Amino acid sequence: MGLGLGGGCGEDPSTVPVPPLAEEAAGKTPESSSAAFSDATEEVGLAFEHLNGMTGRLYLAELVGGGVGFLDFDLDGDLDLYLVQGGCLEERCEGARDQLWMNLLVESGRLSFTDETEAVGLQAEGYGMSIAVGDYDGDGDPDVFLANFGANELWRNEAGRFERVDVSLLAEERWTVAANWLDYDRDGRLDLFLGNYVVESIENPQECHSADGSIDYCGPLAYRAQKNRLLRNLGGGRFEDVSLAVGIAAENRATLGSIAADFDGDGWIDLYEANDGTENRLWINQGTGRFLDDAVYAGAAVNAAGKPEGSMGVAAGDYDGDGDLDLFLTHIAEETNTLYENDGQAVFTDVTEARGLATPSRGKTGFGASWLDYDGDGWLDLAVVNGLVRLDPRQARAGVEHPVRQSDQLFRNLAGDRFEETTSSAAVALDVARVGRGLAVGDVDNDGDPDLLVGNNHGPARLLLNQRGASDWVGLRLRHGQPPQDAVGATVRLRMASGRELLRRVGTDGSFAAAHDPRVRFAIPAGETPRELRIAWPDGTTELLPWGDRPRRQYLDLVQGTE
Amino acid sequence: MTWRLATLSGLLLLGACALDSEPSPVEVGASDANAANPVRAELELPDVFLDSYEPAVRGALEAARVEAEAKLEAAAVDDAARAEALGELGRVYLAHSLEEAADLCLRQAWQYDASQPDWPFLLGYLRGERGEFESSLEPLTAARERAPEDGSVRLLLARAYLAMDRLEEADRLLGSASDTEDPLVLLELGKLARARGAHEEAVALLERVTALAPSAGNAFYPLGLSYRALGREKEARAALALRSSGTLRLQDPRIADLSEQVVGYRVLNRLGNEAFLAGRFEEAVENFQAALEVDAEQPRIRVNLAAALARLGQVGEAEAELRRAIELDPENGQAHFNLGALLARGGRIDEARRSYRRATELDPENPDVFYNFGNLQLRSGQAVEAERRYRQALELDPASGPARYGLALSQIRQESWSRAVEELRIAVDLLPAEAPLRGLLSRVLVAAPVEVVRDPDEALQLARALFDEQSSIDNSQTLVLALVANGELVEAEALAQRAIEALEASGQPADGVRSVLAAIQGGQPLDSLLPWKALP
Repeated sequence: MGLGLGGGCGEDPSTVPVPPLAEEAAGKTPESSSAAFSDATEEVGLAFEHLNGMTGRLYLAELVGGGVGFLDFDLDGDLDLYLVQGGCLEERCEGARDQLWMNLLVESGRLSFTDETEAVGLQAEGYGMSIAVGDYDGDGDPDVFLANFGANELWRNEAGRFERVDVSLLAEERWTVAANWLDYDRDGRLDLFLGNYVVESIENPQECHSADGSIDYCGPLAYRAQKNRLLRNLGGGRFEDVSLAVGIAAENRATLGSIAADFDGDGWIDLYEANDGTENRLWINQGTGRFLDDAVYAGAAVNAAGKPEGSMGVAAGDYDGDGDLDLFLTHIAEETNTLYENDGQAVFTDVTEARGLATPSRGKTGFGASWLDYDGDGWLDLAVVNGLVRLDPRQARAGVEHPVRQSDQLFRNLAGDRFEETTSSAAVALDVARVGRGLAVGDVDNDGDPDLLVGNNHGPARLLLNQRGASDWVGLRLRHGQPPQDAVGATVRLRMASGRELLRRVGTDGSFAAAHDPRVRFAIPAGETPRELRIAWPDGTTELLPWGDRPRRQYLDLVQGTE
Repeated sequence: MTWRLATLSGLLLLGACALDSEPSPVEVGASDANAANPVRAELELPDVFLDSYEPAVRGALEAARVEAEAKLEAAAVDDAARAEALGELGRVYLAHSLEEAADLCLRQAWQYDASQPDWPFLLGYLRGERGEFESSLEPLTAARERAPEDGSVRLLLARAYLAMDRLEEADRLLGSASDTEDPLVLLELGKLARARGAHEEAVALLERVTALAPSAGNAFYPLGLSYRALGREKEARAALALRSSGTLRLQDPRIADLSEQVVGYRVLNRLGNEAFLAGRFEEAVENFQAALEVDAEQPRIRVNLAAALARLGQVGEAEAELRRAIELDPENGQAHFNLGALLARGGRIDEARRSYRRATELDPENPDVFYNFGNLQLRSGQAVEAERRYRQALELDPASGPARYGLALSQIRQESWSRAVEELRIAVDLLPAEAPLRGLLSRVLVAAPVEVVRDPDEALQLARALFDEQSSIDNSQTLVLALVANGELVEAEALAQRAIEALEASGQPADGVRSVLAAIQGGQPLDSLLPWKALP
């Protein structure tokens, strides 16, 4: 396995180090500051305003968008930003377009962004919802799938320039929100799952009422849910709809979130589907080209009370350090968010209340959510962005435009036992009422800790830099194939000298309408020393690698089978 | 102590419970009513939203406020009278899901008259329903102090403690299972046992609940999870499958009375829908009818009322409501669709066909309309037309298992055996839990008159799996046929004899199996015995 430093471009990408961000350039606050996250949006030159085209007719579609994504489209070793735009629903808008902001960190040594949308040829046309990033053509650079209200779009990255790919299957959808790249059949090509929402007609809008009878946004049950689809990548830019053949074509449900990961530890990528107002599904990959939904028996279809919830965002991570992937779901204000603990066999228990996550989520409507170790103690913390789906009379009375605002939240993981909300102490920048939707996590300044990119519906995108991350860490970019491409679906375990093992998954999906950094990071807690890496690759093979004298505090490029 | 009403402005302010900044008479909990006039700031609503309220709701809320104001003015220094006025207004707000307003009114009612347990009870109930268990403890505890024998209070309090993982407190409140036959108490005891990891005990308790209340879906879910924890997978899956079969709810007149406060067709319609979805059809009818009393010109509510009436077997009334809905809105596709379904059920095929046809024109993207239309055509012997309708349904929803099944049946009727088997296989994939579908596939694989379609091995595999899952009479017969087709006559004969006994015992005709048995014993060729046309 080629173990180099970083993932920059050049003759041998695997040996080019990624420079960590200079302290002064990052504007790091002194240690005395207790805040972990600070809003660096203006400072880094990012200026993006999401427009939802609202006209007062309360279309459900205007309430959902706000996708954001990290991707290193130019392969220079730093993360660029993709911001999904809405537009107008009743008529065509000029000037409301998705934007791609290039990170100048590697070039200039300073974290700053410049809008390169036009320069790279990206001209997304749809009313956007979300982004899924994956190297579907296997050429080593990340491509972009855009889920829209209306026909979806696939943009192929060709050495830093984008070309729209004409895939007729993608144009058939009416409203896609969730999308995942996954290699479900282990043929080395990334397939595409489309989680579709409902059928909403702009021409004949539904009128809905809140519980008290006042006019309000409709919920999902007011509409006909759409079918989800799995498109098998045949290579050469061709896809085949295999939904029926693999068994995922089932009763239509309004899907808003999905995540692909190996939940039962059998080495095959499974798929979890977060549905709005109806039961969630857990598609277990049988390894035979078929999936079976076992969410009800698995205890992950409904909450502890047996009730389906309004699921939006979903995150998979090993919060309790027991070596399997647990699930976190965001829900509407009348419910709580839900934490499902995995026993390792894809049998889940709702532990929301016991872990202290129920009370702080009541009254909040969560969308994007992600696991992240923001404080560098090795335990996965949680970030959640919020925004209502029903009009808040108080905000409306106060004249607030788009009166569905809520503040976002950060939760610290107390050694897998409980979570405490730390928004006010560690992330004041999140404690601002906006309409949170997309949340992507990535190390945008390459300093080894996770930063946040927040997409707000009908509001500004925000970049929050983590300034209190791990003092010691290792970052890995896991790649496979030829040319090497991100090993989406892999999991990696880092065992410490003490025996403690940290699990991370390689994936850009999950959260809500977002694409994460495909690299993984391990904070090395004080007193710990890395000993061994165990990597489960997407093709089902496992590699065990001693840590040896590999360097720390930087990103390392690991390519399957080259060491 | 003095008090005064907040000045009201605008069409309707929900701050009718507003008091001034004087200390409240009873110090309870976090008395934020003591803060400087927090009430008005909390409850004011914008006029824009008030405009969208139904006149009936607006009128009722205004009237309730005016009444409360008058009572408060008249009450002077009588705290109990003030509490009564505030509490009654809180009930009106609670009935209309104006939860924050209700919370404030009930909280202050409780403060003014701490001797009356109903206000803290309702406040605790409201907070518990919102999942705010921690803040429900204080009012519920206060209610319990005033009314220690009140079973509803005790149950809500126990439920709150349980939700908060405070198991000891919940345990003390719930008492012993041997002392009660109340399914709600047993349910909470079962959940308590689950929370403690005592799954055997939980199973015993929850099985008692489901025996007492067979439609208690909220008991089947924890029961299934406890079976799962005990490794009893089959029982777990069976129990979990019943998770949506209904909800066991607290029956308390103080809560039941709330619905009588409701006015406004939208809210009544919502309550009707909730009752309908929970299977409480009589209650649904009452709510829909009450909604129509407020506004008789709402076709959607008439469609809903018709659905509830139909569920109660009041077919004539249901039909009348649907026809009235169509009069009000001739373009209402749902009304035509439901009317078609009602007429089809009554055997009025031609009229049903007309209704379905109109529904397909008005709602061409609704796969259910085409599916139902297909069923009607199949029933009336129009297999080719049925196939066309099922295909239209599948174009709109390729994953519809029932439409795929219908398509297969229509092909069987047309003797298109290969295509039928193909569709049946897809239908089985789509509806893996539908045992009759697998049974049919097994039988077709045995009995299709086209050699190339038959696959006795697969038929036997399917039939054995089915019989292992459930040794019902149907599955026995299916297995007998598959065994015969595979030449396993000894086992077939024994099973056929058992099936005949079971059929006779249940009063069902056993001629089919008897003739198979006779054929086995007489060594007759199988083909002559299998009336394949009767299979579906």
